[in-house]
Amino acid sequence: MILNKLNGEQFKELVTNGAKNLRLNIEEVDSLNVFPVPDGDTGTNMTRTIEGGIDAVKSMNEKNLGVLGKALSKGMLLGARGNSGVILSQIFRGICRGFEGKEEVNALELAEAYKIGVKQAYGAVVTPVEGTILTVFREATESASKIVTKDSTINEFFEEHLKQANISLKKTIDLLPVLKEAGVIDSGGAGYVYIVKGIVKYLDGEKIEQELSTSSDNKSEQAPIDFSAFGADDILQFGYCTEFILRLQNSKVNVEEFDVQTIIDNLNEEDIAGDSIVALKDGDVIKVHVHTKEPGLVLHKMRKYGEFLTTKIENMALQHNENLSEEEHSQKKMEHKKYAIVAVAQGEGIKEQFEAFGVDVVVSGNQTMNPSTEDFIRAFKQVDADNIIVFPNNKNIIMAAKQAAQLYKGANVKIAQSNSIPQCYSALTMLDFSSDDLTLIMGNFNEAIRNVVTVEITTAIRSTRVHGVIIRKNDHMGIVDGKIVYAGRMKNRIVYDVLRKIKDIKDKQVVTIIYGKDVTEDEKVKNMQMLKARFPYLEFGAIDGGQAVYKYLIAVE
Amino acid sequence: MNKIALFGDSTCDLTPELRKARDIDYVRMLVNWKDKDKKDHEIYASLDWEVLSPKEYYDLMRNGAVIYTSQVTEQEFDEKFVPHLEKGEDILYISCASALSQSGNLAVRLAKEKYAAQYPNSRIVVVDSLCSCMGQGSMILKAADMRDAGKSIDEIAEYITKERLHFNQAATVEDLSTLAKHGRVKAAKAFFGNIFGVKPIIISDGRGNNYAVEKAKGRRNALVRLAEIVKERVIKPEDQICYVSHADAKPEDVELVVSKIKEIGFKDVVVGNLGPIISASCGPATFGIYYYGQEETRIGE
Repeated sequence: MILNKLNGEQFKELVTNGAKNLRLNIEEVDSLNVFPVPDGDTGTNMTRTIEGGIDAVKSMNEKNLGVLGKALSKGMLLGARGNSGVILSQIFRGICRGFEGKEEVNALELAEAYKIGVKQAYGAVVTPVEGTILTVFREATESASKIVTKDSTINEFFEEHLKQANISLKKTIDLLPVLKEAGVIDSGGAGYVYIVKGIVKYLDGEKIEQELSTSSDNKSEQAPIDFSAFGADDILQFGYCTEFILRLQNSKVNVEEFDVQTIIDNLNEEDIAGDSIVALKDGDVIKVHVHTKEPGLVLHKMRKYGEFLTTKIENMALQHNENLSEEEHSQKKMEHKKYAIVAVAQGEGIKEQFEAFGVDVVVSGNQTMNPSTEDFIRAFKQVDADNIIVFPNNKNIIMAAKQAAQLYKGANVKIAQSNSIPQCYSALTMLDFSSDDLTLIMGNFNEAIRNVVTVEITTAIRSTRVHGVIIRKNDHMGIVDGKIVYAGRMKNRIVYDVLRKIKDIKDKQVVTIIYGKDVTEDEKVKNMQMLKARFPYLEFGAIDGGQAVYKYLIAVE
Repeated sequence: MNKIALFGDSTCDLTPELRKARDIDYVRMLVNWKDKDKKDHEIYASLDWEVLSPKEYYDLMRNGAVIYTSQVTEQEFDEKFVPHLEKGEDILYISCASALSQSGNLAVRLAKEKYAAQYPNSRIVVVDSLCSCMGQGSMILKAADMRDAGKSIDEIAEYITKERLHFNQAATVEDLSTLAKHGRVKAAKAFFGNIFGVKPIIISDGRGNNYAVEKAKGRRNALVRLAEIVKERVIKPEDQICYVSHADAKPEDVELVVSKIKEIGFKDVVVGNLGPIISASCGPATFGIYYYGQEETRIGE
């Protein structure tokens, strides 16, 4: 197919084919990881980001390129996860800005739009690093822009773009010393090349057969209900999950002044003995969720106030999907606050500890499962606060958090400079809102964070050499503030072996160890004995974090 | 004008030498604990440490004994006050903060209901120090100065009452377990819990409660912070003695604190033991620094 001009419909098809090609090669991109840690995620992040865009436009039949681009770029911004994902979303944001007000573009206009993409992407990164997706995209755009004339086809632009992207990608290994040492090319750049390849393939007439994972697909199909779980001799133990939407009637109550507490009180009465009650009033509509053994009484009593719009009664011994979502459950509980905290974490123990420290919403996420911009926005909506402080806790999550902070208008959102769980842990132990001065509060958090040396201990999944350390497959490997400092086999003294590599360990005072889910009791005890014997001047504490991949996460302060 | 007998109590931390030199006495509270065989022990909270030495007492806590304290008894007041009343003297008792101990209130009640009728020519004046340890101790020393300079009991009481919130405390504990057991320190919600390595900075607040106003990470940071607070709040250090009290802290910690405090330029820095009552609720290695500074108006919630 030769395109002289590109319209909205065609652009959607091109990008969709690009996304499919990336999804097809997701594992390969994920494996392009400098560290021999099973947490490479660039492919996953970029794929989910571009799928966020596709999701927003897939049901649109929009020929206007400007209109389609706007929807695509917004979807990608919200779906963006991981730094490469955020950069990708900014690339498309810039390109689509170039499409604004245009029904369709020719190759020259397309090149101009791509140049805006370059500016936008570089502008979104605080300190752009060459040898990454930024370089690949910029050089490919520059090269394609040079060759196009007013008579060029859209095909020519993308073919040249792809050709140069491939060349630039191979060069990334020479631009970044850390890539050279580990002998890998840049993963973000590689992901981008797959997208462009998919675009060129479409132009060459090859539609890629690959399912994309978009939001409507994610909603699990309602599984058939297994009625055998409640037999003829079973005794009703859990009661019925009873849900209804009630329209308050003026003939029965004063609709405006009706207090939903009346309903909650009713449901708490002895004969109903409701449990897990959630009742929300929205104008003249009341939504209720309650667990009870007497759904009949519930319906009877509720008609005092209004009439039902819908009801649902399900035996809880069977597996059902509850209609009132988790979100509504938790929203009910959140009261208005001046300051709220949103923190990213994985591992049940860490989540619990963070909540105990006063974190309002823990966003699930880690190195391999980065939360998206939209995940952050959802968390922001869930807390009702004037000021929201976000702890991203991973370098690769900071950009998505920042993007969410810029997009969200419902509160003043501040991002704490925490790159790791240990940093967040320490900042939270010093949490103190009593000054009621946001600048001071953030200053104290960031000071606590700066004071932390983050130590991560994990197992190498391949033999390599990074930061001058020779690593054998299955070695325990110590990473101090992002640098591999030690690799060895002695699992019962690994924490000591890593900590002694910290230069100013003698000036430190407090060491907090967060145990991962794969640490045995024996390892815990032996490591701790060794530490206490060798570092008598340090104060040691430990919690069970339950995190995957990292056996130990340690805050040294 | 009657002669004035000057009293503190077990929390005032005045050494036997000082008390003798300045003609000061004190009424004793009590401490009790169970030993390993569940046997009960009760002794006076003595500032002479004649039953247990400071080291023995702090080690008792280190080995897990939970020490409970009780206020001065009526019997103790009779024993200590009556000889002076018999001689027709007045009594000025500068008590441990009423927020921490009911001893002062008992003295007020006994004075009104018992001693007033028996000794109509003597007066008993009780001043709530709104403080403890060497904060209270410094007030008593100041009162001794005024008494020796011929001031009346009312003049002294009025002065101490007006000035008492200038007698500042900056303290920290080594670990939170003893505080948690006794719950004697006020702090914002979520201050304690399982927060590891965090040291509270504790002041004596405007009502005489021990109040954790801020926190520091790590012991050394906390000790350095104490000295910073003293430097921020002190008034005319060159004219006063700073008292550094501790419950058997490590020598290097004492050295660190003393060197930092000395930099502030006090007339003198005196190091002593933190008494048996306050250390029972704060734990071994607690540090308290006492000095004259800005009026303490903060109130713990």
